[in-house]
Amino acid sequence: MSFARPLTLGALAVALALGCDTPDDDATPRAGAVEASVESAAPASATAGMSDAALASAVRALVPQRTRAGQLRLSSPLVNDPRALPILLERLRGEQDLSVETRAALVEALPRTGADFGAAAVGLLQTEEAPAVRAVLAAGLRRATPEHARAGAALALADADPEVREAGARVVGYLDGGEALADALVAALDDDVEGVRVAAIRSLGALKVTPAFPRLAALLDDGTPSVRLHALRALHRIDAAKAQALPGVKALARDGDPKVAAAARKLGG
Amino acid sequence: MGRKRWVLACVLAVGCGGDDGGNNMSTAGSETGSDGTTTDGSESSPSSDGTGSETGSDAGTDSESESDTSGEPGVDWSFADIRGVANDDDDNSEGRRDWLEPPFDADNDLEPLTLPALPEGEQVRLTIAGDTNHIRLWRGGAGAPFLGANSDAAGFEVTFTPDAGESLWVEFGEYNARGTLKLERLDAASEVLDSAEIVLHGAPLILNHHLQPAEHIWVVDLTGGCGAANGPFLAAYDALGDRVTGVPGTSYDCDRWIQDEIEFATGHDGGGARQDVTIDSIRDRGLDDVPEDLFFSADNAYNTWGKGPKTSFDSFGNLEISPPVTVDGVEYPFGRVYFGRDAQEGIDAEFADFLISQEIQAPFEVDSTWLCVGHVDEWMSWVPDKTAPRGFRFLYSDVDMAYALLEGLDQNLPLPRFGADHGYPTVGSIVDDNALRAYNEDIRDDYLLPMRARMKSELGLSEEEIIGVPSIFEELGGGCSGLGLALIPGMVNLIVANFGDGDSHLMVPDPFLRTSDNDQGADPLIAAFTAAMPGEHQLHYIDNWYSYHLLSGEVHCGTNVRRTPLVTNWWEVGAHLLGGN
Repeated sequence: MSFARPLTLGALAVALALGCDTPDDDATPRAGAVEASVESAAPASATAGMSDAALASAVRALVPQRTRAGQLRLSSPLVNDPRALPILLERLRGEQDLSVETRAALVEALPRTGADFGAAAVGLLQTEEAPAVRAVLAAGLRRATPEHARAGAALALADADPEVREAGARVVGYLDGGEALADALVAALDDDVEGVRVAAIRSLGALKVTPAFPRLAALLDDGTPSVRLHALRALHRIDAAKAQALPGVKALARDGDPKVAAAARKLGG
Repeated sequence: MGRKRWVLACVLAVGCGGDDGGNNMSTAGSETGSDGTTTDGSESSPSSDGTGSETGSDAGTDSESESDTSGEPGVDWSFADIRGVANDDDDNSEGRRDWLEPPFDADNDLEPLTLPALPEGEQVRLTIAGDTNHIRLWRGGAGAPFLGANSDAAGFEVTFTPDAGESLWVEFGEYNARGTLKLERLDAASEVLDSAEIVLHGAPLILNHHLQPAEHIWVVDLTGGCGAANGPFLAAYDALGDRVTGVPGTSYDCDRWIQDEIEFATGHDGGGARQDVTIDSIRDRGLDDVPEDLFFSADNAYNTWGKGPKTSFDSFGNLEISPPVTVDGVEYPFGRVYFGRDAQEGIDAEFADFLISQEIQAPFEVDSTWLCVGHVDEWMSWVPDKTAPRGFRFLYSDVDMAYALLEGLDQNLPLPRFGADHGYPTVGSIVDDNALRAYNEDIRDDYLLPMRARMKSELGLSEEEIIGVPSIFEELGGGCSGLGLALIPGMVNLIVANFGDGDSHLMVPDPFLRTSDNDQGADPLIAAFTAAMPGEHQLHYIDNWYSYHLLSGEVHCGTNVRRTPLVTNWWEVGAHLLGGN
């Protein structure tokens, strides 16, 4: 392959930080060689030999990259180290004029440090101004300790912003002990925003919250197709036999929405 | 390639050294009348007496010329249809499309229309119809077009006295531009002696499918100062040698998604000469200048369609092409284009309309709106297979296969990569996540299975042609609330680097479904995928974890491939698809 291979100062800095030998000048220079040794390393080994100071410096220098969808994300094994957590939090607190996108990227990385980030996430859910960032925090609660996850999800479900409420309703379905928030999920079935209602329905189904069955059954004739669809599925997941016996289920086999009708025909047997 | 030469043909046509006032492109002494007609100021020459003429001129006409016409040969008034390419390239390297300039010496995209020598006093009337905004004729190199787009010809008609053996030049300004040209031979009294009509057809833009041999590959080199650099990715492509070019990422804002910014296509003129075309997406991220910088030159055109507002759907990972298929008796010799779009959102409508207007690859839509990135290449692809009924296999994401595979593994198998970056430290943690499974079941039922059925229907696929690829998707939050993305690196998002027999490669994302990074042999997904793939390919499993996967893409997203057309006579093999041709 043909491509230019300059040795950048950045690569040299990383090399020094990692305690690697600098590339031999006589060898075919590959600026990516040092970075490659980091980026290709398994998460645990990438930073194993790094001092706290070196890691902190490297994490401070990490620049979020554009994902294919256009968002920003930190993509580096440097993040997969519990020592990165305080540095990321420091950046959130201390860096001036961080864009919402960058803040979202920083909070998205918190769970990936492998450290106990839950308390920090709960705190940030109460102080972060940008709804988009709070939504990302809520989504990351899946990897928090159960206590922090539930506390954070409860905050998210009560958030003024629908994007955050939706993220909160969604993450509850993934939580160990998420059924402890069943009442909050049922309350979310009356949310003004379709996405929140649907997320709550799906979480109730995933958690198999039996007491929610009647409430979900009442949604089979909801005016919104996605609500009908996911209520149908949630009912089936909670109690398939009982769901199949519901008159509303059979009626949905003739629903005007093709996805709803298909699901009803499949689940109705 | 035997491309025609503008200057040489004109010299032969007008006979250099004549008294043409120094402009060898113009008819000697001609004058242009106010109605756009031209008359030849030269002494009238004998008209044809019709004897032996193929055009059947009026036998009752007596020549009034002093010349003896009894031995004059008949005038062959037959002409071939003209097919050319859109003059979208830059043959004189001036940095702008040649259609925007008058003809020049190096322009090899104009098609000659050579007129036979006519008896004295006769004229030619040309009438153009059809896509007259994008087709024009030139007579000589200077001034305005003679007929058609941007010309002064009123009513799309012009009458003139051609020089003996004069050639006009037909130029196309759009892909699949179509028109007709009526050529009438007139006597001195403007009576029609003969008439012919030909088709003028600009080549449709034809996009590439995976059965076409790879010519060259482009990736973005991020190792010169970009974050999440792709050293291992580039190292894997080193196996393909000098057929891969690394575009310097630092020159393009470290935009690594080269699949998304450009799409390679071709056009062929009636003689089979090829023009390469790069479609430039309205995506307009860091790689936006790549078409102009790398792919705009002689015989290399580029263009953009679509007004936006742009979305992720406008990236060209959301635009793919099937291999050649026959569906319900209809042959698609160049395959069919498909892109992600539904009633509410998807690829830009104007661009979609343009693709549809090309006709020959009969585009259709599939629903990609369930994905965060929203690209059709995230869940399906094609690989050549000489043993397959039609020479290919269709790779399609299958969540049930993935769960079956996972459930068959040691549930305590550690998965360091998934533990660190996705929160799934073991196989069992993936299997036991009820919400994750529910999400995958739902997208299977709502999207994967219906779209599979749609692909089968639109492309006439048989079950034998389909290879399921174990895939699991995760449900995102944040800006992609509730939308999906590959949890396990999407192995269908691969590159087919088929340079020739014995030199065909599949560049596949490494799924890392194992404990040790360095032990690809222990990876059950790699084993399953390898076993399923056609044996004619060398398989390369590429570490694109940090450089692409965690940034919502995989190998295919970070690569682009130029391919060799297999068929060039589109007007013959695709005639049934080109309406009105």
